Parts: sequence; structure tokens; C-alpha cells
Amino acid sequence: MAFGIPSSTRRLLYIRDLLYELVVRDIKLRYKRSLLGIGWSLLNPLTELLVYSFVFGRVIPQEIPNFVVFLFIGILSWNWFQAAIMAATNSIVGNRDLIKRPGFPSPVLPIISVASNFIHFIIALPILFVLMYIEGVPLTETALLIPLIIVLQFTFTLGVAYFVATFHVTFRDTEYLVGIFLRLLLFVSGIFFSVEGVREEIWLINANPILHIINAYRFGFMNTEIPLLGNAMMWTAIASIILLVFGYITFQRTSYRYIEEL
Amino acid sequence: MDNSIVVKNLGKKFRKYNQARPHTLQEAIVRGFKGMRASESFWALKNVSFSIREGNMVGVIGHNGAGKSTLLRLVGDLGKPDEGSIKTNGRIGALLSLGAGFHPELTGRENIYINGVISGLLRKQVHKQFDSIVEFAELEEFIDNPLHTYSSGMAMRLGFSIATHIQPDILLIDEVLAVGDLAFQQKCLDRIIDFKRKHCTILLVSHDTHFVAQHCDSAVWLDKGQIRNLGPAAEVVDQYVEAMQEKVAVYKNGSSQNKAKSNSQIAVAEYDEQSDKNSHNSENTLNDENDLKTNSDSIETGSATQAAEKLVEEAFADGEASLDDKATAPEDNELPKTSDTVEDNE
Repeated sequence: MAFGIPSSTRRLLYIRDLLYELVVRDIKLRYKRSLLGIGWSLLNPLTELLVYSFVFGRVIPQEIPNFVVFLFIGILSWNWFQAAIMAATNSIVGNRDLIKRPGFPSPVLPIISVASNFIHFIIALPILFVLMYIEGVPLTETALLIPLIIVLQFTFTLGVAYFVATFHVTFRDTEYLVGIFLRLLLFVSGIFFSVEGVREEIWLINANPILHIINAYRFGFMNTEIPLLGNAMMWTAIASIILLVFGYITFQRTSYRYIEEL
Repeated sequence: MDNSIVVKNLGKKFRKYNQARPHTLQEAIVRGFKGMRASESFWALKNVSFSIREGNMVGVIGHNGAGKSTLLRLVGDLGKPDEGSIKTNGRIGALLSLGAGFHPELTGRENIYINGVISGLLRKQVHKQFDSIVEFAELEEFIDNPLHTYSSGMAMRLGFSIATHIQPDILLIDEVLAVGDLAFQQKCLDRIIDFKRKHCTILLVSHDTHFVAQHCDSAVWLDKGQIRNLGPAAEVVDQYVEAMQEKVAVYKNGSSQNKAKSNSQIAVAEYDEQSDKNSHNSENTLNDENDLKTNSDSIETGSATQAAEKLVEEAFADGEASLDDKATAPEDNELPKTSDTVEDNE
């Protein structure tokens, strides 16, 4: 009963199909039985834009050119990261029935969390272009960097995802800890105000890869000058790769335990 | 013909965790990370060796908690052996946890694709088999309705139908033959025999000794994690049934002893309390010739009583679960029912 396809090729094809089916399942489920359906992918970042632009545009005005575009880039990137990490935390515990099937590759589960939230990022991207058009921000050749930045954010997010998923199997309050940690991170990632002013005083802010990733998107979309961006990107890339490798190894090592303990 | 499954000296240790093992980081910190480690362990499987030839069908029998499901899971690479090794040759399919990934909000059609891929098929393979899956499940009219409109039997049928369309080289089956109504059950059995005809190697855990004796080529009898016997299915099943009947007999004998107010020790007394609750009708014996005769002689004879006690204890430890369903295997007695314990759910 062979399939006539070399087994390693088949395995790759299989992982691709599995990712496809499970990501589509995630997305379908999110919008089943909702009035607006896929519209929520657009409405969510738009309402956030409204709130933040009111608070940081009117109540505590920022001196940032094209603030709406600046803000929306931050919101999009941050939402992807946050939603992916929240979903990944529960990706093992919430999918026991899948983990307990012979041959099911459990490392795909955190990938699915990151990938399906990436789809929402993509869906909301046209709004950004509309905002850029309204604000008169032209796309320049720096936009060519954007796919690379997306790959970088994917790598970093997945690295974190493997760790939180592993940790949540042992400690079920990881979810709350992750929530608290994310809220903290939200304020030091330069989403609705620029943290450039304090970066030199508080060096720890520089250790936040999300800050650099969001800055890079802004460079890509708006061609704004950001000091030392190249350097920051290099370190972020190295850190992300190391994180992903370690995260994956930790995940793999403990995955036999999950199967037995879940 | 080659061997499809080779199990060598297999041993699997299960850890028993403290009942008070912290589940959250908060608890763990408050208690200073005490009780995180397993307090003790036991061997769920030990020294298990056998090999199965390609195209053979092997039944695994034994009482509850004997390690049957653990064995099956290890063969399916769900968990690491602590000793020995398992070699499998070919793609493994499983009739375990049918309907994994099913979601009630999605339609039957959507669920077939998801579950089919989860079960190991490529999308185009699911596509090719789609009509056949629907037809086998007898769900043509409902396939585009959401799964929550299905009865539980319909959902099970769909799960089984997908599982049997994956064309594995090795098929693992864990007591899932009771799906749907009688007609569908027969269809399932036919399907399994069909697999065998197509030279699929089948490893099957079942309490249905009839089925094992009739259809399996050979059988493995597991007892407390060790192989008690293995060989031609009919022979092993006969021995197993005989041993079980002895236990049933002793079990019943135990309760009549209680009525005779024997001077048994605590173990027997406790046991009798239990059995009194469960089986007042101990006179309605299953098998009279196997029932030990209870008369005052055997109770007064010291050695006979001791022997009987020993048997009763054993029966209590092993045979109980098969006598009344709510009883648990002995290893489970001290374990909490939460997910942090590794146990052999059967």
C-alpha cells in the first residue's frame, strides 16, 4: 500500500496540507456564527486605531509625523504577536486529541497559532495602504524589506510560542502570566508613542525585539529614519534564530511527556 | 515475509505523582517547588517481547490495567519506552480517538478534510476518497450540515469511516468496535477483516475474546505488564477465559464465605463488603463447575482458607474491573483523576 512518493517528500507535502487544513479551521471557526464574519479582522485594528489615536493624538498629543500611519503599523504588528502568543500558550493543552494520534507532528501546533494570526495581519494590511494614501505617505524602495521583516517576526514569535506552549503543559497558570507579560511589553514596544527618547537611559528597552521589529516595519512602509536600525535588526535576527532553535528543542524533548501526561 | 512490528524487551515505567502536585506556578512557588517530582513509579510494561509478521492480525488480551493500551500507544510512537525497543515497518494508522479534530460548528464535509489530514492523508487523497468516506458513513444527505446537528452515533460513524480510509500498513485498534447500531458494527468488523485481507498488519486490543479467537492469527495475553502467554489466538484466549472464570468463581465464593461468617482477615472482609454491595445474587452462578464449593470444612481448614484468601485478594486486585465496570484497576486506587498522573486508561 505504498504511495509511490518518496517518504521524505511525502512528509513535507503532508505537513503543508496539515498546516493548511488547521489554519483554515482556525480562521473558519473564528468567524462562524458571527454577523460580520471576516470583517472582524478589519474592525478590531480599526477600533484600536480610533481609541489610540484619540488618546495619543488628542489627549496626550505626540509630535510624530503621520501619526495615524505610525500608530497603525504598530497595532498591526503587535496584534499579530500578541494573538499568536496567546493562542500558542493553549495550543498543546487545547489539542490533546490531536497530540494523542500516532504520527501527528505536534510541533506544527504552535506554528498554526502563529500562522493563522499572520493571516489576520495580511487581511488588515489593505487598511494600512488606505491610511497611507490618505496621509500622503508614499511607498518607497524600502518596502522591499517588508517580507524579510515579516519572516523575522514569524521566527521570533514562533520561538516564544514554543516556550510558552511547553511551559503551559506543566503550569496551567502560564496563560495569566503571559497575559500580564504581554500588557507590560505593550508599553515598551513603542506602539503608540516613540520610546527613542528614553532608549539611551533605559538600556533594557533595547532588549525588546518587538520594538525593533515594529521600527523596521516603519522604516519599510514610511521610510522614516531610525538610528542604528541595521545593528538592531542583526541582533534581533540572531536572537530570534537562537530562541527558535532552543524553543523547538525544548518542545521536542518534552513532547513525549505531553503525550503521557495530558 | 517480513516482520512488521518487532518489540524487544519493552519496559515502560509510569510515574506516580504526589496527589498534591502543584498545577500552577503560583502553587509551586508557595510550596517552594516541593512535590514536583514523581514520588514513585511502577512498571506498566516489563520484558515484553514479540514480533508480528506482515499481514498478521494479533489480539492483545488481559484484564483492565494490564498494560494493553500502553503497549498499543508505544507501538504508535506515543511515548518513549524506558527499556527495550520497538521497530515498526510501514505507515501506522490507528482506530484510536476517532474524530480527533472534529468541530461541531463545521460541516461534515469540512470535518472530513480536517480529520482526514490529521489521520495522515494528503488533501488530494482525502479528495479522492471523499465520496467513499461519506458513503461508508451513510451520511450523504447530511454532509453539508454542521456537525452539531449530528447524533453522536452519526459523528462516530463519520470518524470510523475516515479512519478506515487511510490505508495504513499497520493498523492499531483499541476497543472501538462498538460504533453505531448493530448493522454498522458488522460493517466495521467486515472492514477490519478486509484490511487483513489486504495484508495490513493489525494489532488489536479487545475484551471481546470471541472476536480475538475467531479472527486473530495469534494473541498476546498481558498480565500486570508482562506477557503471560502468547501463541495461536484460540489457545491463548481459551487459557485466558479459563483463568478469568477461576477468578470469577473465587470472587463469588468470597461473598458466600462472608455469609457463612468465616474468620477471614481484613483483606477478605473488605473485599466481601464490596462484593456484597455489588453482587447479592451470587447464587446465580455463571459456571457452576468452576465455583469452589463453600462448606464449613474448607473454611475451618487453615491452609485452604489461606489459599482461598490469596485467590480472593488476587481476584480483588485483578478481576474486579471485569466484574463490575465502575471498579478501577489496582494501580489507580491512589491516583487522583487529574491529568498529571500517568495512567493506563482502559
